Amino acid sequence: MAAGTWDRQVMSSCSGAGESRTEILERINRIVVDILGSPDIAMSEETTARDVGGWDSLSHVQILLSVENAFGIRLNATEIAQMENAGSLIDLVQKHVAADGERV
Amino acid sequence: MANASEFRAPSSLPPSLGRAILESARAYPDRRALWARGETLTYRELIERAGGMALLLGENSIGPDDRVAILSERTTTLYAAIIAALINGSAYVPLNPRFPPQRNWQILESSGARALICSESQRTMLDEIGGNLPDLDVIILPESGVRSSSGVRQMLATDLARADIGTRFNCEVAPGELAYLLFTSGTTGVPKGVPISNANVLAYLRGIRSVCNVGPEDGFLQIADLTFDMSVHDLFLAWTSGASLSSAPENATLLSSRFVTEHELTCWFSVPSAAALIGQAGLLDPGCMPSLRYTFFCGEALTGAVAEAWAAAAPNSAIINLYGPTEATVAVGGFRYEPGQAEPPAVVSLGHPFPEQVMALFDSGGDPAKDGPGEICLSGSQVASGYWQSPELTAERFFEAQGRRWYRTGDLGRFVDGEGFSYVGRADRQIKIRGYRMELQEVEAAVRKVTGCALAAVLPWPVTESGSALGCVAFVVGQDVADTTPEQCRELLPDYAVPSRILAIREMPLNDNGKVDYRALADRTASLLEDSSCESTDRVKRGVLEARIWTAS
Repeated sequence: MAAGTWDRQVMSSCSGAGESRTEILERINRIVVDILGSPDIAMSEETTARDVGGWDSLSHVQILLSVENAFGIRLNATEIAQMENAGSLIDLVQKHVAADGERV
Repeated sequence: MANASEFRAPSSLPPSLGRAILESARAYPDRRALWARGETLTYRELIERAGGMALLLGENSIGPDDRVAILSERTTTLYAAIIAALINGSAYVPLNPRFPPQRNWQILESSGARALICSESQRTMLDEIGGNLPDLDVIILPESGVRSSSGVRQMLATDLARADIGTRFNCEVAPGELAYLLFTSGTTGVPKGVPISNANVLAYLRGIRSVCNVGPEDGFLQIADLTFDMSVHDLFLAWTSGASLSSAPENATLLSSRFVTEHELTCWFSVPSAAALIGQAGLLDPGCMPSLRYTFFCGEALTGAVAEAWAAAAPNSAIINLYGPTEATVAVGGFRYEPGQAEPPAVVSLGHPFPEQVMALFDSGGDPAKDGPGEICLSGSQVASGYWQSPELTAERFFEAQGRRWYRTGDLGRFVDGEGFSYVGRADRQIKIRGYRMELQEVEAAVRKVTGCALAAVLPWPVTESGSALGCVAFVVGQDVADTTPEQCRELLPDYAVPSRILAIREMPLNDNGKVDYRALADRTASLLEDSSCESTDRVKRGVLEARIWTAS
């Protein structure tokens, strides 16, 4: 599976990468609630699309595009194809945000 | 390494799709054959993976007259398993992880498959296999190290044979007649099987090659689920041409235009709805897919608007509208669209049949109807022999006339000199929901089962201008039915066919024959839906909402 573990202290000291996994999950959750129109959704890192009512292939893409937009990142086909759950998405957000941070 | 010319099949050998794939693989062994979920395989590697399973099938007495069922998500295992069945000379029967388990078991049972190849992620389904699959002799788990609790004999990853691209496979000696067995919606509530032969598929490949010129430099996008025969075009046109196949990531069809650009793909095949939705999502900017050379559409009406938007997005692509049902192997003909028209047509023509195929119009009396309107009937080397083990269904749709054997499509059409055939409507209650074929009677059967009501009527809803439906709604007569029952339909129907609402009405409008007056129902649908209360997310209006959500994000 995806990108391995991230040292939280290292992450918080990188510019532009200050968010914890919990904070990123919260932001993703807000996006999902917004797109699916269901205020009761409370995702964990293990949550998959199958676990959430109304999360079909249409909403899946809407959610991915919104996450890309919100965090200023771009996912490639391999990453999209290998994504398993919310945790995978958080990994990808951190990976891409960190990469952009290093370039600065 | 032997010379490619040594593998040229003498014409006295029986037709075999497996052999055609092997020829191509052996001619281009080190070229990319497949990208799936981030994994890339050359032809050499793909045949090695497939060969290991193919030899195992042979060792377990699975032969040319047998069917091999396949249950896997969209990974290299899925595609290798399909080739494994074919190079063993057997037919493949794809199951779909997105179908409700009951539907997969129905297909598995009807097919009489003696072997099942199952990926690791789908193995939990195996625990439900009881004794009601008497034909199933062996389950192959190519990714697994542990057996499932099923009582059927099982072969694991460690049991896989060693094979390579030079191995002599059964299909080169004695292939079976069939290449695959696909199931389509049936009016009785049970999917009906369409057996397609090696000869049928090779005829399709000849036909499609009469309108396009593809080779090892091409990269094919693979969008359709393997349970739909549009995938047959993707897989086998690519793999008999030395080209590569890129499997669109699961659940992300709408990102396919980005995928095309990222992988510089050259060939596209989808229903027009996919193009329309991608356009609505703002992912079809002019010039965004410069690498595309060929775009094929099939499965539902192609509007001039979608064709023009696509031409702008893929300026180097030929755009070809294909026509044909599963019963005639993917498509029997088509029309090449010329973009940049000042006044694009409302709907693009269906064109003309491929050189070996015949399309003709017949009236309701069964006589030729010249230019129509009439029912479009098909004849030729792509037409299936009939429905799987269903002589009655076969007799309903296949007939003899003018010294030929024909298949009645149920599509009504006209013929115009120059443009060719055009679609006028359906003769029955089969519809397309976002491009997926569905018999409304099958949905009604499911609704009756789930609600316990004796009378159910299902209508396509909402319906787009081109006549395609985005979903369906159901009306039942009986006691009050809670809004949650549409979800129970998920156990019986594929997701696109699940009604968005099931409404209980006091009285069903009937026509003079005492049958449900669907037209009267259709006229009242809008008001009936608005009148009823609904607390949960209103998916009926989703089609309209979607457009707004896209612009807001």
